[in-house]
Amino acid sequence: MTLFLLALPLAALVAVGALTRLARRGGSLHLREHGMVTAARGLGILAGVASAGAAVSLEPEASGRGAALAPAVFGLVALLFVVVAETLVRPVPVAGPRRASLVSRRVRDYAPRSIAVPVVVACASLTLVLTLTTLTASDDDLGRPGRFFRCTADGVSAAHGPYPGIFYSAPLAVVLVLLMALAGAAAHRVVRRPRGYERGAVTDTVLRRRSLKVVLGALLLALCATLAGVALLAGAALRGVQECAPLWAEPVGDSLLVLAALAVLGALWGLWAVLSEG
Amino acid sequence: MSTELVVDLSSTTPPYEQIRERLRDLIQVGQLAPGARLPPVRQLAGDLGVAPGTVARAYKELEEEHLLVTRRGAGTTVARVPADRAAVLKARAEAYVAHGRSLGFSDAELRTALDAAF
Repeated sequence: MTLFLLALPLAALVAVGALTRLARRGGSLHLREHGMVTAARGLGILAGVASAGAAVSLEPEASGRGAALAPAVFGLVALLFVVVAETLVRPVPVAGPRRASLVSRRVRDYAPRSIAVPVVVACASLTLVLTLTTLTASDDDLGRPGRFFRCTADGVSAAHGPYPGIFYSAPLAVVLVLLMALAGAAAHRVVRRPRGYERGAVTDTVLRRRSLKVVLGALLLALCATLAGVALLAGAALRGVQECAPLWAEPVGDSLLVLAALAVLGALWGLWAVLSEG
Repeated sequence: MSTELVVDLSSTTPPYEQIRERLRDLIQVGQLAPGARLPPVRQLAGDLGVAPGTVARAYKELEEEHLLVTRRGAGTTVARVPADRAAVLKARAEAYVAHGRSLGFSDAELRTALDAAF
């Protein structure tokens, strides 16, 4: 099973290579280009799911770290395929007169606000929650740092875990930074790539908007799925130590549980964006 | 601004010259207004399927003609030059007449052909 999960992203990359060669042959050019890009995105989603599965199943110690990283790993792989699709599968221009717009294309001109705004909100929320949980976490029973929430008051002490302290937040931060960098590269590539076979300015704009919707959708899905997990664990831990909890724990815990529910909605919104244009 | 640039790679005129000529015309007739920002070299080169150096050369020569201005961080913009639509039209008409005469057409034939083109 593990070998299968590892091999699937590799097989998907090979398939994209084959698609690239097919896309550069003749035939019905517009349909071929559209079909190849869509297929490459679809393969990216499959490879992303497989990689997320691998992140969970390959974790050596059952600490939940793999599960915490899984949504971000999905986004990372899915976005990698978007970059490949926009870079390689989009074919080079054919012979004859070539046209170019004299408009300087910028990402903000093509990014749909309905996805871009939730991405910014999700990113800010995740940063805030991870900072809070990292600063308030303690060691677990095995001495692993930043994995439990502990409190002591009036001789009573309590602990609840897993809690997304540095044990989870450090690797998560690395993967999330990579995810953001790759999303930026994908968005930049979508905007800067040549027109390919598409000659009309209006259709070209529509295609770029669709591609950016997929990029931002995958990013939103990864960020919100991560946020939902982090907020749920943190909220449950803060609400689970009522014996000695500090005053702020209850309202913050409740807020985090609400945030987790909102993040699930955000993840579904991102998934819809990916699937509706994928 | 929805102006497009067309380059014919099968033409005997080098691509950088086609780009330069077209941009110069658009600037001189005012279709590219002073201050208008042009696409980055890589974007334009990618869209046209030519080497970035081809577009860079066209931009550089237009800068030397004081028609474009490139500033670090601000990209390439159209210089503050007054549009001279009449001069562009006159140059085109003169080129038409000179080309027609070189092929042996009389002035009357050239006028008739021009009228018929409307």
